[in-house]
Amino acid sequence: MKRLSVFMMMVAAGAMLCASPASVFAADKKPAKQASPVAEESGPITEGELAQWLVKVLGLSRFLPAAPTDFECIQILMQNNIAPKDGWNQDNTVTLGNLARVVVLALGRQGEVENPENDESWVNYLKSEGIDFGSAGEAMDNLEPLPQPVGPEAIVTSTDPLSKLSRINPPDNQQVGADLSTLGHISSRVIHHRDIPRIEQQISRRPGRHPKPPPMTPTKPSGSGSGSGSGHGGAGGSGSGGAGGSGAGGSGPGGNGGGPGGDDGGPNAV
Amino acid sequence: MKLLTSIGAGVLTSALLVGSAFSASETAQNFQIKNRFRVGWDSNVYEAEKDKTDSFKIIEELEFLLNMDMEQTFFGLRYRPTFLYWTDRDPDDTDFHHEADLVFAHNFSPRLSLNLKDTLRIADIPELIDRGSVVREKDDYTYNLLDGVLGYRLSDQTRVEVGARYTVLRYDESKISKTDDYDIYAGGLTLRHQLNPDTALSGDLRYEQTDYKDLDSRSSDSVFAGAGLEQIFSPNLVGNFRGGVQKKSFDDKHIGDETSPFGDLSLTYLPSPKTRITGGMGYSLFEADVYPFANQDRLLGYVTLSHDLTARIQLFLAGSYQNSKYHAKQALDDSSFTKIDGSEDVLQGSARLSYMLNRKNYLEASVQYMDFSSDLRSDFDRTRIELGWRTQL
Repeated sequence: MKRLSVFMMMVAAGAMLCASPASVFAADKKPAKQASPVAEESGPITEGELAQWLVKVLGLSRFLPAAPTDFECIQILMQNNIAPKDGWNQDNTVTLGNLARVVVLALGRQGEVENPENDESWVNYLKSEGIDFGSAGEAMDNLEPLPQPVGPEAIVTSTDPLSKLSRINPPDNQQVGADLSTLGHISSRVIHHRDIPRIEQQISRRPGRHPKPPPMTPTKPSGSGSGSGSGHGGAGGSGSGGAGGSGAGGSGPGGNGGGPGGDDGGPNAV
Repeated sequence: MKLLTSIGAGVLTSALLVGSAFSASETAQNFQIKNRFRVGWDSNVYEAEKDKTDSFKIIEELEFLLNMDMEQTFFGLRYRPTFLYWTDRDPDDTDFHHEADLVFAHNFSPRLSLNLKDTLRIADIPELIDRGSVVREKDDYTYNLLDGVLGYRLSDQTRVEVGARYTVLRYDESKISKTDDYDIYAGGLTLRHQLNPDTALSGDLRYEQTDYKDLDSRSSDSVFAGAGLEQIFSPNLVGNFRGGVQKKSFDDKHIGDETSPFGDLSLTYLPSPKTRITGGMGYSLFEADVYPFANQDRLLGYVTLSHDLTARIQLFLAGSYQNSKYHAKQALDDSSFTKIDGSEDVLQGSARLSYMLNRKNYLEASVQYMDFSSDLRSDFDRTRIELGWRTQL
C-alpha cells in the first residue's frame, strides 16, 4: 500500500513535470492558432458547445459523466453561477456580449462590472483588464479551473450504471465545498462483525421458543455488556470487548429487544 | 514507514512546485497548483455510539491541475494528495490519501467523438484501536473507475452513444478483501433526441455485472431499460429525470432475481443572481454496504444552496438523506450470520462560509453533522468543525 502510494506520487509527478514543458510549448504557439474545438474556423458556435468546453476548461468534468450532455454541462455551470444574460439555450449562437459575460463570471469578477445589464460593459471590462478576444477560443485561453468549484462530489443520485457515483469515496469528500463523507466503505463497520454474527447464530438456532414474560423488576441493568440478556449491550458483551469498548455494540443486530434475539431474553441468555 | 511515505510525498510535491514554477506564469491557464490547509475538530473519531472520542486534526491538501487543449482534443489531469494528522487518535495518528482524475476527449469528426475518464482513489484508513480493542478494521483500499463513451451524431437533433465502464475495488486487508473486493463491468447504449431547444428525450439500455473477487455468491448481473427527460423550464430553472426498470439476477441461486423500478431526478433553480439551489432524489437497487447482504434498496435525496452574501463572502449549505433497506432474503448463506431484515438511515448537513481575501486566497469555516442509525450496525452521530485557508499557488 505504502509502496503504491509512493509509486502513485512519482507517476503523477513525472506526468506533471513532463506535461508542463509541453503546455508551455502549446502556450507559445497559441497566438498563431487557436487550439480548441470552438475555434473560429469551425464557424459560429452554439451555447451548448460553449457549455461543453467550459466544463472542461473550468475543471468541472470530474463531476460529470464521461460524455456529458449539453444539458448536464449547463446545469453544473448554473450551479457555479455561470450563465448568459437570458439563461442558457443550447441551440443559440453565442454572442460577443454573452461570451464576455460567461468569461467574466468564470473568472469570478462580475462584481467589478459597472453596468451588468449592458452587454457592452462586460466586453469593455475584459478589454480594460487586457483580455481582448475575437473568438470563443481566444476567450477560453483566459480561463482556468475554478478556485471553488461547486459540484455533486459526495452525493450523486444518478442510478445510471454508466454515471452513478460509487459507494466508495475518500474520507472528507465534499459537497459544495463542505465535507460530507459517505458511509459506503468498511470504516463504518464500527462493530467488530465477528462478534455480532456469532450471537445471531445462537439466536437463530433456538426455534420454537416462546417469549417469556419480562420480569417486573430487572435483576441487572441493561447495556452492561455482561450478558445479562436484556438485549441492549448484548453484542458488546460477546467477549472481545471490541465494540463494547467504545460502546458501539449496544445496537447491533438483535442487540435491542426488538431484534431476533429479543424474545429469547437476549443473546447471552443462551 | 508512514513517516517515510509522508516525507517522500513532501519531497516529490516540493519538486513539483519548484519544477512548475518556471513555467507557471506562461501556462497559467494550463497548469495550476492549489493548496488547502485546514484545522478542525471532530466530535467522534471512532464513529462510536457511546463513549465518544474527540480529536483535533490538521488536513493538508495539495491539488495539481493540468489542462491541455489541442485542435480536436482535450486532456485534463487532476491529482490531489491529502495528509491528515489527528491529535488524539491512537495508535495511528496520520492518514494519507490520493485522488487522481483524468479526462480525455477527442473529436474524430464533427459527428464522432470519444470521451474517456479515469478516477483513481487510494485511501489510507488504518485500523482504529480504542483502549486496547479494535473498533474499526483496517481498510486501506485502491479504487479505480474507467469510463469510456463513443458518441455519434446521427443528425443535428439525434445522437447515439455507446458507453462502457470498469470499476475495480481492492482492499489491502485480506479479511476485508475476501468479502468486499469487486469488479464491476457496465455497458450501455443511449439514444438521445433534442425535441426542441428546451427539451431532450433519451432512451437507454444498460448491462451491469458485479463480480466479487473471492465471493462469487455475492455477485450479480443487472439489466436496465430506461428513459430520460432533460428540460429547461425557464432561464432560472432546469431539471432532468430518468427512470425505468431494473432486473437484477444474483449468482446465489437461493436469492434468485429481483425486478425493481429505478429513477432519479435533479433540479437546479436560481431564484436570484446571487443564489443557486440544487436538489435531487434517486432510488435503485445498489451494491450492499453490509455483509452478508448482496443488495440494498437505496433511496437518496439532497439539497444544496450557494449564496453570495457579498462580493467576497459566499455561503454554502448542503443536506442529504439516505435510506438503505436490506432484506433477509437477499443475504448470503453464511453460517456465521443470521438472515434478518434491516434498515439504515443517514442524515447529513453542512454549512460553509468562504471569504475571498483576493483572487487567489480564500478563508473558510465549515461545520458538518452526520447522524447514522441502523438496525444492522451501530448508531452514531458526528460533528466536525473546520477552519481553512485555500490558496492558488
